Amino acid sequence: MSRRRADPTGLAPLIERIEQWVHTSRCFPQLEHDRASVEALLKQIRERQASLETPLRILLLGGTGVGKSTLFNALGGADLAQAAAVRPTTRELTAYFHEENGSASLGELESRARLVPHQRELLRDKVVIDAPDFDSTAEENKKLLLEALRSTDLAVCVVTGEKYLSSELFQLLRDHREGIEFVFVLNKLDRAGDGQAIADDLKGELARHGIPDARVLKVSALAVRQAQQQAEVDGRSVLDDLPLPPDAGDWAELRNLLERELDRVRIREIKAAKLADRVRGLLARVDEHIPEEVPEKIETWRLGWGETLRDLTNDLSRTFFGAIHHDFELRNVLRYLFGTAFPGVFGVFLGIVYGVRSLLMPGFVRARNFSSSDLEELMGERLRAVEIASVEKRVAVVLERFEQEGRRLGFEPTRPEAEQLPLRTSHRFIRTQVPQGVAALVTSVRSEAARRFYEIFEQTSGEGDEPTRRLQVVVWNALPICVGIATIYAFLGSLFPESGSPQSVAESIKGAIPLLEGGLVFLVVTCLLEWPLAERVIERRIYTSLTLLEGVVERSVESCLGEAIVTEPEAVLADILDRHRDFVRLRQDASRILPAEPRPSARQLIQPEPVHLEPPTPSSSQKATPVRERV
Amino acid sequence: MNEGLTQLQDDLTAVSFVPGTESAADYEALLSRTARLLRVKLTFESRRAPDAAPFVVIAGGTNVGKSTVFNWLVGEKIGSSSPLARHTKAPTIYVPRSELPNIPEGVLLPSYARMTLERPEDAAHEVEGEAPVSYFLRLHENPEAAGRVLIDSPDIDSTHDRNRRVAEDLLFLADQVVFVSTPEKYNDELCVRYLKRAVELQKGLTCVLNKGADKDVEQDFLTVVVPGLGGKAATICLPYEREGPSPTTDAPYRGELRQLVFHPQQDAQDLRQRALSGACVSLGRDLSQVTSRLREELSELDRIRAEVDLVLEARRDDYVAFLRSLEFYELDRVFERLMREFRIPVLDSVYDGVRGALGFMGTNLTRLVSGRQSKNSKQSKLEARAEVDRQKVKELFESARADVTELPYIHAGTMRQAVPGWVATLGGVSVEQSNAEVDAFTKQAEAETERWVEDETRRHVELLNKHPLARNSLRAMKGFLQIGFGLISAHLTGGLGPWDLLIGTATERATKVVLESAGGHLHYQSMKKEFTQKRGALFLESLRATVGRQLVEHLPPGVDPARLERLDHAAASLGRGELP
Repeated sequence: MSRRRADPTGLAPLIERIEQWVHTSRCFPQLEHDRASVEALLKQIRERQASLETPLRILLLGGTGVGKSTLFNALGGADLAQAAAVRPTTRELTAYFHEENGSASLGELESRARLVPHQRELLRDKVVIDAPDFDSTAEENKKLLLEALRSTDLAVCVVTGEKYLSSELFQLLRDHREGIEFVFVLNKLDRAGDGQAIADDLKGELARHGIPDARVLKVSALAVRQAQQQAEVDGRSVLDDLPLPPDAGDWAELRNLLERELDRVRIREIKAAKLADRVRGLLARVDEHIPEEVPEKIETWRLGWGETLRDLTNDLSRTFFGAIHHDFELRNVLRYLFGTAFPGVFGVFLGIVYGVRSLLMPGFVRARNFSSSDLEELMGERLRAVEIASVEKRVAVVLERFEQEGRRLGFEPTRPEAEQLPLRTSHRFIRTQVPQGVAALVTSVRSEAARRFYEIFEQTSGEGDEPTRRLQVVVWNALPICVGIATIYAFLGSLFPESGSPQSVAESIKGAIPLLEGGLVFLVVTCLLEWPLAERVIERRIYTSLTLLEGVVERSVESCLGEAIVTEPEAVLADILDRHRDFVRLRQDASRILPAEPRPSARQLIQPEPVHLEPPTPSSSQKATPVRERV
Repeated sequence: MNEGLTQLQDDLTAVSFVPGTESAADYEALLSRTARLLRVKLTFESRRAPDAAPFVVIAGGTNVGKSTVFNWLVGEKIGSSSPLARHTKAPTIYVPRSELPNIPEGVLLPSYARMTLERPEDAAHEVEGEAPVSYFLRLHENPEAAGRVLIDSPDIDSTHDRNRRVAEDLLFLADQVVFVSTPEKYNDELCVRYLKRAVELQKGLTCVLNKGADKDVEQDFLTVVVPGLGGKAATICLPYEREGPSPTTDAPYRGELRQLVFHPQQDAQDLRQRALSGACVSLGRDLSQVTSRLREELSELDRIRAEVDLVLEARRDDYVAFLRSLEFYELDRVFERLMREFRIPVLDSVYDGVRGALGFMGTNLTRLVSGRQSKNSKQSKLEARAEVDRQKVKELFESARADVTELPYIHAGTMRQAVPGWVATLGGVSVEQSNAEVDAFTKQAEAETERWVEDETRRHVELLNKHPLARNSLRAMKGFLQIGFGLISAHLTGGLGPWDLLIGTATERATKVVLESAGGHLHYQSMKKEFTQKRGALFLESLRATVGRQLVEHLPPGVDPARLERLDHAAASLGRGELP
């Protein structure tokens, strides 16, 4: 029950969600730009929501000298506010409220306004406020009025024949027509030549400015007030049963509007409708600040970023290993290592070849004395040439590109936590992690490369892998072994001749020596035949191992900079998508919850009912017509 | 017509403010107001006879009864008065027939259409809708109003912008203003602002309090409003008549009003003189505001342009410093070329033949043995260096681009709001595009290097040709080196034979000595410096053409300085009350 009372319009959850969304969405620059006013609108909506159950606030609004205070006095039936000919007269707020409601119901107005309590039952749920003008030279008046307008539900806009087209009035109407219901009172009917013509002209102008079918009442507050004063002197009731003077015009209708038409139900309707209007206005305003086609744009951004990242990784691996590819010494070392790693007889042959080479050629000299630790050292030495600062700058620039691309598409890449920071300083959102990330990257590439190098070497030379190794033994040594076996077979055959004429062993061996020599020569020739093939294989292995080394960069980039260049941007993109999806959902819910057609339904709250299109009492209009003729 | 005014008018139409800034609309309004004041008053006055009649404009808020007062003054019902607001849309000008030559069409209110009013009643229903702004001309022979041109102005405070603009034009045109107000409106901000403006423009001012102002109101007006104007104003209160002035009561007021408005003749020239100088001074002040804003914008734009250059130059310096840290292989190429230029007829052919054969054998043997194309070490070093160079160039390009995009935000000052429009497309350069830019630069730089090497070679060849002794000693040295070491040097060693190095070093040393004796110069450091600077200039050029141009093209051009100078002169002389 209490829940129901607290939220009679059912808008509270929606407003809550909007508020939360606005507070957490920092990724739309246009919204950030307009944040102050959006937050102000939210605050107003909050205030409205809180004041749903408080009395209706009716504000008398008008330029200086249109007779607001006189009208106020006439409504009250007493000299509540000062009315004079000197401009501007009123410089303060006067609140006319039912004493049972107490002044506390006035909220923040309580301390700012002169308080006039009354006991009129019909005005029980309303507070009528007389406000200063908005168009005189007194600036503070306008300020006070604007403040009072913030909590106004219904503005009785007082105009005269001279001031009904004032540009400042229309400016005010334009600014506030979303949240305030307007009723127009054409005052000083006694001085206007043709009230109806002016009222029609005013209606036309209002329609042109977006307030169609406005309700315009023609009165002369001064005439009414004078009649009231006369009645007071005569000792009669000043409010009810007052014989209306001929110039009073629609006075009875005005009173009827304020006293009877605006009953409890109507007040609540007005308040709820105006609240819904404001919420709708706020959503429309936020909607203006959100770029169109967000998911498509985010996808473009993401694709562009992926491309940039690939480019970065390519560049980094070129930075690290581009030089190594051309490094003569390293290549020779590798060549030597691979060359001496062949197994079996052929391995012995290549070992001899490379041994001789290492004696003769400077590139192999260092390689001859190499151990795996030396290799790591050499690698580290080569990689140390890469400057950390340069890599860092490159990464920073790439991140900058990410942000610029986002900004170009109409988003501000911010981290959700960075909300306290003002716009354009918060955008260095991921920079903080880059330096240590880059340092870690360089270290990791160095150590990884050195550590992995021997592994890669073993892997590519096939030493780590038992079956491959065995296969290699067979493949490379098949030919030499065949030659060997053939030689031994021939040698043994020569030892045991078939003819049966036994020879001495020594003689047999002696006869077989040329055979052995021939076998050896054949062995060397087969190895020589295999040699170019082996060189080709070595070259391929060098290439493979260097390429495998480049994979180190890719992995290191992922593990060291992943946070800064993959996770964070991903999070930013996802956050923007989330924000946008939330907003779309919010908008859909709002269109479901809020009344569908904003303008007419809200406007009709204060539309004259069909009966009122005619003057309320035939007598007053009959009286008014002859008066005009007479003057 | 005054040439200075024509020039000023041209200048004013030519200048414009940077769009999209916070105050752009305000300044555009100021500019258009300045142009209108110039056109409506100064240009007009400069074409008028010195003894022409002054203009009296009857102005005031909506529905205060301007037309009523006008009718009263002229004693004829011309501006039809009505209780509906903004009734008067086109001003009516009431001119003595003798004044007509002084106000030729197209000179008086040049942007308005002139309609001559034959019958006074026609005024009401001739202008409707959004027709071009026009005014009615009513010629008369009324002796009372002979010395004045009377104008009935539209209201100054309605919702119609057009009425307000017309009212402002008429204020500019006026020599004397009859300001009509009422007890309701006398302290309205817009009205008071109008009065202040009239005083500022040094118009003769007469205030009429219409619609039955009593003594209180008059007193309040005199004590509250008038002192704030800083000038004197004659005031008159008219009685309130619901149906307009009645012949029975208006006679005394009418006399007084006419007395106030139609001063004796000698005052007329004085009025015109003062109004003209007031217009000049006001125009001068507005103009100086316009020029100071234009200057501010120009200086901010120039600042950004200058900063772009500074940023790019800083990148250039980075690049030059980076190049200095690299090896200078280009000089080796110069030496090589130089040696090639001086052929020794027989020896060279033999040497080349032997070396070629050895090289061929070596290359093919290596290829046979190792399965790779033999590359000499210099080539691979060059490749490694080119790779590092390319990376650096790419990095510098991208960081320059990022910095340049930030620049407008840092230096735009009062134009900050327009910045996103300028940099909208700058940052989003695709990877391919930036790679292409870098490649273009690299290609250009290579071509430039080639040219440099050739130039240097040619220069030194010419120098050596002038000194036969040096030339011959170079040949002799070359022959000695080639015989001594060249035959032993071979590609068998994979290209990095110690003999190649030895030959290279020995050649360099010897060549340098020979060249210096001939007056040439091949100093490593100084040539490197020269070369890197050349390359740096090329880099800067390339940066300007890509990164810099992208921003500079998006920046608004700003005002032409010569024009600004002229406007300043005009503002100064107008400020002294003189026509330019």
